[in-house]
Amino acid sequence: MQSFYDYDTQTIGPYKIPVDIEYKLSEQSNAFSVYRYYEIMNRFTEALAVFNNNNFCVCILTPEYLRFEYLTAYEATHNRFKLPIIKLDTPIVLNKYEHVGWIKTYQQCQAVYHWPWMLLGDTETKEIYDFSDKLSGHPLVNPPLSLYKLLVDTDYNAVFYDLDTCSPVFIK
Amino acid sequence: MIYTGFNYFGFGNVHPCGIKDKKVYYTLPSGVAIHNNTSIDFEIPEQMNLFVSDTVMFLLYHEDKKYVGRKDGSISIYRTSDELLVGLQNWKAPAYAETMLCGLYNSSGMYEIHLDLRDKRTVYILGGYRQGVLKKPAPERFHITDAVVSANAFGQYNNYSIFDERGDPVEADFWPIQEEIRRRDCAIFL
Repeated sequence: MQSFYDYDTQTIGPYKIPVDIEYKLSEQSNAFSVYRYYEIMNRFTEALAVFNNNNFCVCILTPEYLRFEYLTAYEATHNRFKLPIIKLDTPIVLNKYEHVGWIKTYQQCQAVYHWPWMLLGDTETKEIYDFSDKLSGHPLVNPPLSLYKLLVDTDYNAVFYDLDTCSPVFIK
Repeated sequence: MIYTGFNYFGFGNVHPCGIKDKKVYYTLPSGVAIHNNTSIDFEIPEQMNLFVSDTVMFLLYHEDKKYVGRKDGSISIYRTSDELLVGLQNWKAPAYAETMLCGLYNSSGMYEIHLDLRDKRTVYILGGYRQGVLKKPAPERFHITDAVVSANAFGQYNNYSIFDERGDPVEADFWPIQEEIRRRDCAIFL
């Protein structure tokens, strides 16, 4: 889903990056199209997040490393400066988030394929990422896509499956 | 690259397409029908919709849903009223374009003419926004050297140079592709 990298807190979504990335104010607001981010996410299947770094290159965050990449093959072959790959030793997830449900997905880029957005929740503290509601009962971790089908025709924004009541729980 | 209803890797014109008997189908200008298997098990009438994309190969509308088929074999289904993702399907997308170089086209620059190996009649001019159909079935081999000599020697515009292995010209009917594609005013996927 759409997110932003915060240079002050070094976070993007539920991830904290233990690498100091310098911020330079740019005249252009965003040099890369939405399509490019999705395309890179599809190319690097292990990527958790992709974000623009000062309109110069893209940062690809994976569980094990942070990779800097030029946006096009032309730039990669014509730029003398080789972009680094930084190995991450510390865990990057802020909470113990797990995939507990699905979020209604309105596509921003239909040119590339991707699944519905995942609902991330902490099964211990019952917190749900990006939602004010809390998890109830024992949510099913890694639920099937058929649960998303139930969500489509409702007015709710997200769904998870409670194993205690054996029924889906919808969230506004 | 610009595609509409169904486009074959950016080669030539775009075709009206539909889904029937679990197959995505469209017809080449020579009359040969092309079918690709899909997991969608209901019929979608033949139609033509304009769009621009590097990755999308077909676009269909049916009832209140939009079907986007891509080169990677995925089909995403969206509700047209609010663009909500309502389903994921797949289809057997061609892995690459089955074409071969068969001649040259001179029009303020030299363009390659490619023969479609699926029907061996349809020819495309790469980057020249034209396509055609051979008047006779394609010969066993083409003589590209003759095509180079011909294209250079005459130096005239709109000179189609296709020669068979004996050096005889191979005749074809050519026509420009859809104007919306050349104008590039049908971008909805960028």
